[in-house]
Amino acid sequence: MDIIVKKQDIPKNKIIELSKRPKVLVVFDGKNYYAFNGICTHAKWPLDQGNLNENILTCVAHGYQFDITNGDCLNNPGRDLKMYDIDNKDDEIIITTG
Amino acid sequence: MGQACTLIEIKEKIILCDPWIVGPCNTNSWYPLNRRIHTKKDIPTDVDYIYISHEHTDHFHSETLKEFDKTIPVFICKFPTDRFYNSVIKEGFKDVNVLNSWEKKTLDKNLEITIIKNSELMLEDSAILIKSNEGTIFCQTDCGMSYESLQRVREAKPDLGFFKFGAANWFPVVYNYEKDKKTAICKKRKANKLTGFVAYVKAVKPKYAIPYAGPPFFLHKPLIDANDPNTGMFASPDEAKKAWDEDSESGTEIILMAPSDEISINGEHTKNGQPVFSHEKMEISHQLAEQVENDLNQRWNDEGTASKNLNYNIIDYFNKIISENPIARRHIDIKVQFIADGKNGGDFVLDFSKDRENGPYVKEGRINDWNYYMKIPAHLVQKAVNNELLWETLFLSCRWVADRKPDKWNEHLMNLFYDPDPKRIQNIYKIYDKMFT
Repeated sequence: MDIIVKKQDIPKNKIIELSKRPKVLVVFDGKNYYAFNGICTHAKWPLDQGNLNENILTCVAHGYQFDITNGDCLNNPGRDLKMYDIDNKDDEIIITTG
Repeated sequence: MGQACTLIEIKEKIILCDPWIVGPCNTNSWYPLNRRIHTKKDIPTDVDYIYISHEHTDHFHSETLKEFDKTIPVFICKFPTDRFYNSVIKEGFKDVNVLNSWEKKTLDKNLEITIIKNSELMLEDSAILIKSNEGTIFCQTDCGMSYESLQRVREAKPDLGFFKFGAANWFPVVYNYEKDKKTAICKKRKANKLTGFVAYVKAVKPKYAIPYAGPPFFLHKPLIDANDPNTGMFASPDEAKKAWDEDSESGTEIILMAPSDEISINGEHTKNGQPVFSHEKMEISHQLAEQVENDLNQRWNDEGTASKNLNYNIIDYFNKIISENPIARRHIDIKVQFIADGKNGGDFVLDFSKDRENGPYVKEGRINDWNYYMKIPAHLVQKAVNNELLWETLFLSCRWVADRKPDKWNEHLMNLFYDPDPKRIQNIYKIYDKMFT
């Protein structure tokens, strides 16, 4: 599935939900766009409720932390987020969820 | 009653949840977070039902359970293995009822319970929802739950919700960190737990929420500083209320209850005990530590010593569990410096390297390239390798020292220690590998 979204609809450093099933979240850090699965790999909490700080996303429920630039789980290596490919066009991005 | 122990009275029926009232738990280490030390006369033995959420000894406490009539029906959750069920049977209870997660059980014409399993893949826990004509009560206990499960709890419109607010773990307490690093980790973990408390209450939205299932309370001198609210990771209930108030969401009122306090279904709070802990916690810790000192010393003396055969027992034990669980070894993929410290102890290397397809996996001695370091009192190791003590219980005691290089959590190692049952391990990795590899 491809998701096409206008860049103007993704404000900087905000977690934006693009799709519910699969739950796809996207973040623009001012330079790059990152799209990833939005369900915490620990206890299945929605990560759009989480706190984002310098590209580190912390789940509100149990404190699991993820580097959203690559999906790495920082406090439990291996429980990483699925990242989605992004095709960066002029005024929009296209996310492929596979 | 203190910690997760909750007595729920509905008309003439009484359910007691997670009874831990007297004595320390987790290998003579934790005490209930309370201003006074309970005695056996504080145990409410006249109950109709007992619910036990899981096997951690701050919830499933043998010394407390000994005082109950063994014909009282006990309710537990269906877990992937029968280990917990067998432990409850071993305590002498004759009427042990195992409920599937979300299965409703009518106990009386006006009383229904639903036990809910945790969402974690590698450990077992549960929560309980209690419904009657008078109202609905949710007890989270220690249970880590999915958001979806909590939404289902919310649909039941709980009047009262009891929610965990504090950490209950050995990380970073036992780790060999510099003081400043340890304090920083503690603060972060504490903040995460308080955030979690707020998130859980928001997800369930009961009319009244009570922070409970308090963190450990250490009354032996080497660990007493871990109680310090300024540098430690263990929060006090008032910090949970503060976290909620700062988040400022309306609709739920947070009520601070101390052990022995009562609350009615409409939120009427009766203060029977002394106030909940706050920042004067250290002063009380020292007073209570003096009070229990003789008893605790006696308990530690009674733990016995390791046998002269401990080194053989360790080698046999770990060779067995590692060889029986090749899939776990491949995920663990590290070397562990394992030290049984004290009389009849010794130094061992546990080799979980993923390319080491054949044993032996254990040898005596020391190495420099370890990834995990564990120094544990030899007599407690003896009990663990004899299967008389769960590793998890021993680890929770915080009566050991750990280190790791690189400084990364290895959940696969801890999962093997948690329960090395090969069938359980295989089932877990069928799911894990599908999700993450």
